[in-house]
Amino acid sequence: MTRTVSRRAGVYALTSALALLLGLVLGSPALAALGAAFAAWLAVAFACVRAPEATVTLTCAVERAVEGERVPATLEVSSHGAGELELLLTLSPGIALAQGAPHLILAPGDGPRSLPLVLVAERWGAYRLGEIVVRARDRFGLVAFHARTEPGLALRVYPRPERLPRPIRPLETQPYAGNQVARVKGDGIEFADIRPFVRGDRVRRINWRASARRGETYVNEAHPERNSDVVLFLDSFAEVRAGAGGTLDRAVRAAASLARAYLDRRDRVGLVGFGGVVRWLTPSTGRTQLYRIVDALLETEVALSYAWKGIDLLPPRSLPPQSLVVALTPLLDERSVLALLDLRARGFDLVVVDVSPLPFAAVGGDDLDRLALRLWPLWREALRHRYERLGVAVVEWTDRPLAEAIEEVRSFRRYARRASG
Amino acid sequence: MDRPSARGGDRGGEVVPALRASRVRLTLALTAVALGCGLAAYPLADAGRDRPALLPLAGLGLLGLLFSLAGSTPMLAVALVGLGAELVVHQLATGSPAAAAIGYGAGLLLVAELVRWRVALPPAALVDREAVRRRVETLGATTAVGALAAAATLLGGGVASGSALAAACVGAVGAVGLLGLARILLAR
Repeated sequence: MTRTVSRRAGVYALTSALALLLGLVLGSPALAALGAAFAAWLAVAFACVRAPEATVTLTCAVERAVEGERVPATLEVSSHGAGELELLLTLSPGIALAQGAPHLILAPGDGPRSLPLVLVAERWGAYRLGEIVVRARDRFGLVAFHARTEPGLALRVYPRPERLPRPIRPLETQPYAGNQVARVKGDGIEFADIRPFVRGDRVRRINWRASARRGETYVNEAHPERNSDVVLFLDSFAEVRAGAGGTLDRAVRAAASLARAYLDRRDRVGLVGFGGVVRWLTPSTGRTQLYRIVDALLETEVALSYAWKGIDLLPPRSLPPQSLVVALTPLLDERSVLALLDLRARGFDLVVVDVSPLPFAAVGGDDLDRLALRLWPLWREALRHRYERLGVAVVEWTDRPLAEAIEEVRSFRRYARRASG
Repeated sequence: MDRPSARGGDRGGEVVPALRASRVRLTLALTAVALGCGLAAYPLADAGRDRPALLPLAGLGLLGLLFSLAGSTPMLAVALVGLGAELVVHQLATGSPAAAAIGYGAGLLLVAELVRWRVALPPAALVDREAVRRRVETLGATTAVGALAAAATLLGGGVASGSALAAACVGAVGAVGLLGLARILLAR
């Protein structure tokens, strides 16, 4: 705890000394009386100074919240010996105060006081809740004692997921049961075809009507319900930010939404964070995997790196064969652009969601900037066409809902399948 | 992610009945200016030939007061010296009773405390009403201490043993007081 004496102590001391000295020189009792008033105040004020004890703690009702959620918190204040307490709560960027004051001046009571606050999580992330500066003053406000407390309280704010009624269907399925109707034939509910009876077929699968019409025994074939492997490929090499939003923020929200949608369908979902720091989660299923992915997404940030990175860095298990790779990328860094082309060349079922940086780009003042801003979208469009020529579904995601972009991908893939068939 | 949001309602704790600091600051500034004008006007009210000498001092004091309200601590000293000098010049010129210094000294102290309270109060803060009440009580105590000290000094100066001796006593008391103050400052 540091201590500072108010600067007015010097002013009062100077005034009283001057007045007393001049009173002595001029023989003026009035001057001496003026000086004595200030000197007496200083003496009394200094005599009343005691080192106070103050404890301030911030407690939060929850440890996890979703973006935009209001989180109740309580500021517990207890002090002894202070005439006045000044509290300044500095919250981490991304956390705001919805109710309550960040700067408060209190008269400490007899016992501890608890002040309710309501915080609002504005952006996803893992936060420490900021710091509290406590300034305790004595009764006369002459000496102030400062202390700074760092709350050890952590709050994890999850990105708000967007509802995706129809996520992208993977082209291939895995051998495990799931909600995805496989393209292969086997045991299932969805009717596929009929074929002649062979030894070993179950009697309950015989199609009696077709058998009677054709004069030999036919059985029904069905499409089995299988799960699929989905890998979310999050490009974190670079981002464009403007104000409170940016391409990485949107990409992380989209990744959380997609992970939730696929895991709800009992698919296996993995994550590859491809950027200055490369990280991955091997595909798995279930609610635990959802929290694992979201926790990994919270730690995603753009780390500047000049090192060349390719797909070879990733362990094979992070990209299982026949998996759908959904890439969320602003297409800003050549390394991620080429890595996605490499993935396609290796035969992965690839979808590119281009998280467009254009809404976040600031328009420059001169003609050259304006020309560059006209050329940039053209260059990006050419890049998207390059992916499309390779059979990759690529969609530009601007300010519209993610579900719309996903629907566009679905229609592209449906069209591409018919064209190749 | 599917957790239900925290329930609303009474979660305990107390709501601090608070005032906006900006309003308190405005009130303090207006009070300080009003009091400062009163103090500056008091010697001028019955000034005679000494009015031309008093006017610059009053102006200096009020100017210092305005600048100190804007946050300048050295200008507070200018305000105190200017207003104090105005009273002393008036008394030396007219020979009016020194008893006025009791109220004047307490008033100067009060003005200074109002100014410093105003400057130290962060504009964006919320101020607990109880804290304001305590501050007002402290201001009352401050005024009383100043008045008592000034009265005691005048009483001491009024001892009938010759004006030079009385002034010497006052000076000695003041010097002892300042030495004591310096000792307290160094001890802390």
